[in-house]
Amino acid sequence: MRRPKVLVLYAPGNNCHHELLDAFRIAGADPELVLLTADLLRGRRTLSEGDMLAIPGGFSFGDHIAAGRIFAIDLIHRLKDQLREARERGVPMIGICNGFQILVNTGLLPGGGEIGFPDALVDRNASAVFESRWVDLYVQKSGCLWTKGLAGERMRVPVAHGEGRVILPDTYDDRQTVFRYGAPEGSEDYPANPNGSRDGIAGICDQSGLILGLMPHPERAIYPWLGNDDGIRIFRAGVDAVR
Amino acid sequence: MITQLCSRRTGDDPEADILHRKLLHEGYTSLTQVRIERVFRLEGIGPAEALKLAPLLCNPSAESLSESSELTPADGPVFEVGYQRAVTDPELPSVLRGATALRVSGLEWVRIAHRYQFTGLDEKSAASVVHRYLYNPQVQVLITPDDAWDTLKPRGEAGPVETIPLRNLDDAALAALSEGKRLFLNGDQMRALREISVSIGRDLTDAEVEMFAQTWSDHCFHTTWKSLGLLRALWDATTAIDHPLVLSVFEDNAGAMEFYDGWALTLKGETHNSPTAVSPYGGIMTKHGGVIRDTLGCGQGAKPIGGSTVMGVGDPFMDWNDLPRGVLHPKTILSESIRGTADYTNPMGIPMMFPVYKFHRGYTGKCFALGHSIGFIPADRSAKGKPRTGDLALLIGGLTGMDGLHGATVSSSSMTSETHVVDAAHVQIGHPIEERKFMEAIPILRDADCLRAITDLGAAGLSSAAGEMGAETGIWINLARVPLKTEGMHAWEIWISESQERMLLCVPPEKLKQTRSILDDYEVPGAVIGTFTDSGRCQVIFDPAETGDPLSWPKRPPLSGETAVDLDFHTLRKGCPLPVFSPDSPGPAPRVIPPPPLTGAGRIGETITRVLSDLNICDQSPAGTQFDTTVQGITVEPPFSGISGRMPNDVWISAPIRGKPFGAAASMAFTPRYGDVDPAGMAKLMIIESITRLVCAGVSRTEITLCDNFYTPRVNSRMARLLTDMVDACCSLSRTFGTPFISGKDSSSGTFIGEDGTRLDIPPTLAVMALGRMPDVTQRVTKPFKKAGNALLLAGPLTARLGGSIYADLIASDCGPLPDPDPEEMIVFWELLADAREQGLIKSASPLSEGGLIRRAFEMALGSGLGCSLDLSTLQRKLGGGDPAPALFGEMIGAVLLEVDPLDGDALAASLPAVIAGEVTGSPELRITTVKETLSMTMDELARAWERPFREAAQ
Repeated sequence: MRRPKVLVLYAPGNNCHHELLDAFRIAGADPELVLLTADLLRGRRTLSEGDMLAIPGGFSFGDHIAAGRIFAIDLIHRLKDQLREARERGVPMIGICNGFQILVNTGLLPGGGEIGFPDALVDRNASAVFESRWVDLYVQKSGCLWTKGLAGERMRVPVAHGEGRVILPDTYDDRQTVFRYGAPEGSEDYPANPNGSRDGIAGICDQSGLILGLMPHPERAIYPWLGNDDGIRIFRAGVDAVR
Repeated sequence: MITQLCSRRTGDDPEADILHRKLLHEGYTSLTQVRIERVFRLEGIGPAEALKLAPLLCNPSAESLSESSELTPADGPVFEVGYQRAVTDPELPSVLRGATALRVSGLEWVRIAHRYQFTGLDEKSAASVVHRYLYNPQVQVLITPDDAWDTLKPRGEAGPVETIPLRNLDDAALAALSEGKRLFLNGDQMRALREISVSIGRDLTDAEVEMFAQTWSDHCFHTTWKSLGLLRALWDATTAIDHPLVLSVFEDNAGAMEFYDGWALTLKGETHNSPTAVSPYGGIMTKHGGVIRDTLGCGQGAKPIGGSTVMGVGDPFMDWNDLPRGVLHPKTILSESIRGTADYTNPMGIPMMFPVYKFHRGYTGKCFALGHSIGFIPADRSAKGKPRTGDLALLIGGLTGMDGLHGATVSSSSMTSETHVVDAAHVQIGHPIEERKFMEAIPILRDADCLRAITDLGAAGLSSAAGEMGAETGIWINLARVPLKTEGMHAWEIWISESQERMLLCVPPEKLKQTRSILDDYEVPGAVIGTFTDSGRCQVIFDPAETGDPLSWPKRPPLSGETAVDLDFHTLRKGCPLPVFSPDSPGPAPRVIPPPPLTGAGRIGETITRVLSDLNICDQSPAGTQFDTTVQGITVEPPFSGISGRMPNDVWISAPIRGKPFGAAASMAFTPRYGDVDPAGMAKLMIIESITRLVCAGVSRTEITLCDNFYTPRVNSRMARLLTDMVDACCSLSRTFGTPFISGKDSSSGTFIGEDGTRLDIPPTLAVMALGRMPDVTQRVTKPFKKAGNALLLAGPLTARLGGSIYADLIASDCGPLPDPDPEEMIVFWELLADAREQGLIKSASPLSEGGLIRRAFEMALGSGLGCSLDLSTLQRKLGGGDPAPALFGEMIGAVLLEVDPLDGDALAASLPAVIAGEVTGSPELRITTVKETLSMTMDELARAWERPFREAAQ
């Protein structure tokens, strides 16, 4: 079977890319680290090389100004054409933790409008502190490609973030919700829901179901000895869908 | 042209709400609202152009942007905090980058400030809030509306290199010089400095004097330890053991031991006590930054895969009125150090191994702030690199500024009530993003053969790093090539600046191009600042006119411009006169005074609750969950686990080779209370405890190495005795077990002198970390109970001694000496334990520690959702008495609580040996049967008592 090429984007401060590359490799893809500045902005590489795009977690650019903001500004204003082309080509994208914050900052998620017009926010946790825990994630019935065949399942994966409270616009369609914390219908109880997101929303996709953003870290649960390997199922589903 | 823009939240403002809540908690009860505005000052563009930056500066769904402030003075006092004129904003490059993306041209410089408005507070209270919580005078300023700005760019002018005439100074003048320049050199050292100046026949420069002061400080030179011969003793023990897995000891920034598949693990623990005592948030950040750089600077560059924070703090519930002047409240130290650890280690993306907070009144004057770092490196790259003549010195990472000047000398001196004011400048500010960038690049540079050697810049900055690296060949440095963030620095200030997040690389000239390209890819700033010569001299110039291509430098570049340092390394290395201590003869052994027996089910139950809610062993997860434990996707046993995620683990286990179950396991032992009773006895127990933890989990006792971190009060003859005894105990045990110390650090500055001359000493402190390996993490033994009906055994060295225990502290009774397990018997026990584990007989296990048997039974139950029934009658009889306290609370270090199949119980009890101590039960409660009493407590009520104290202390 063909191994789809996944571009894992890196900017200074991202710190979850090694395990993300590993997760895609296990899932049957051919992932490559692509440097935002040296590769993409200087034209050594383009987003069009990828069958899939992934933005890892961490603190890109030290979370200066706002979490994910600088990375997103580069994507919107210096790589807009490539990004638009990738979306039109139907390239599946995943943003995890900081990657999710970046996708929200670009306006790709929840994705009602144009690229460059963000209409949602991933805000400070209700607890006001960084939360590093294991959570139960409940896969929702959504059109998301990354959870194809997984609706109704429960996964246990780590979260680790200070800003994960998802605030969505009135226009948000609840069928875009892909993961909820703590219970099948979502929980707002701390710490089952670590950040206070309304209705326990942990991850969302755009209307096409191709672009997924989530705060939890499935790439940290990919071997049985790491607690469990529940996380690998998300990457498998994504990779299987494009090959 | 300077344009100003302001942004603020439009809906709720979590940051302001948090600050509001905190201030209410701190007693500012009249405060009704906090508002925060961010102020951007932009140089080179007008308002129209500036507004094009809107997508960068604000998210319209939650923030608004305007040209003028929306804070009206009528609503309460407003304070604005920004960076000093001489300091570059850390966020400047990010804003310039965003502006480029938005095609805003002409933007030359940016400064970001915060405006705070406190509704309900008067001007004076608001000012006190700002000064206490929001403003760091070392790098920041308060900006008033009248401040006129003609440019935002840092300005300043450097003074020339100065010479300091010493040759004709008498003792009094030398002392005055040491005091005036804050050199912290004593009379002997100042006289030695004078002799050097005489022997080289010229006055020393300011840079040379400062360099000697740094080099000879206790922090860098370990004068106290060298004087007592202690480093030698530990070194000798490790050399004699000649452990087959050990790859590198003591000489490098960290020690290294062999792992599997051609990889090695590195180990280092570093304390940062003095800065943390003065400024816990900044001090803790630099503690982590420093020990992480020790890993990056080990061998040819190791990747950090685990870190710890280990704190010793005073009583967080102490009365504010009892606080000595010039000391921060322990509660402040605790909460600020938690915040500092979160803000540094989380962005670094290094899993937290052990967040440990211990409490002792002795730490009120000076706290203990230790951090460990475990690294991962190809075994053939783990030896310390050796520069060659012609190699280039490359300084990478953050910019150099005024940060931390005089850090090394201050951390070696006693703190006084004045330390706060005089030496505030020795606390540095951490920016983890700079360090994270080179953490990514260094392993790539290493694997591309770009690094002949690498070291970090810490205490004494460049002078220490370049001085150490160039000692074998000679080194030439042009300080004018060092990129600065503060304009107008003197050459000596650049030379000893302790600005964080910097490393010094030794790069072969033919690798310079590739090195620059990799650094550029990973956005790591770097500058070639000098070259390794064959002169055997440390030569440092300041010459802005020298701008040639480093690849065309001669072997010995000329001393052009101003010469800041020109000394041969023999002079630099020798010279430091050591203080002389005459250790006291040993004092009498403590007497055994049996405390009154604990009787009655009610009193026993109440005592159990109080022991479990002792701050040292209660639920510390409110701090621990603020630190990332799972990043890098390698964590097998995090610091907290079990069904609730709150059960404290006894070991940390990681599987750093992706896809393979090879395990790196670490454990830590640190119980300052034992230091009050018997420091040498404590040293012994810490080593036994740390090894037992690893053996229990499944590490062979022959595959373990150790790291020691000592912290003692300023040494007098009594302390010299105690310290020597502690180190002797470590050496002796290390040799007996064949378990080497491969890394360690000492600090002898644990003394605070109050305004009225009162001396506050910390307890003699030793933390031991053990690092081992296991071939298959899936075969490890974990802590939570597994199955109702299984038998519980207490195995290993059993003793009725209660000395130093939490129980002794609780009943305020001197309970005599510490437990004293026999080392030879420990070896036999560890072997038997390993055999039982290999046969699959051990279902769960936890080695005893502070709090004794009851604590471990509680934690194992908590982690499983099960309960247990403890039948202590056999144990009680074995311990020789009717008092159930030693059985319940005795801190029998070396002993292990084991869960086994009931069918194996008797046989194991005979072979280990062990006593049967009860069984696992299905219902979540602890049932306890003593010789006389029976009682039962639910896990819920115990957990409620256990989870409260730390949460309150850390608030």
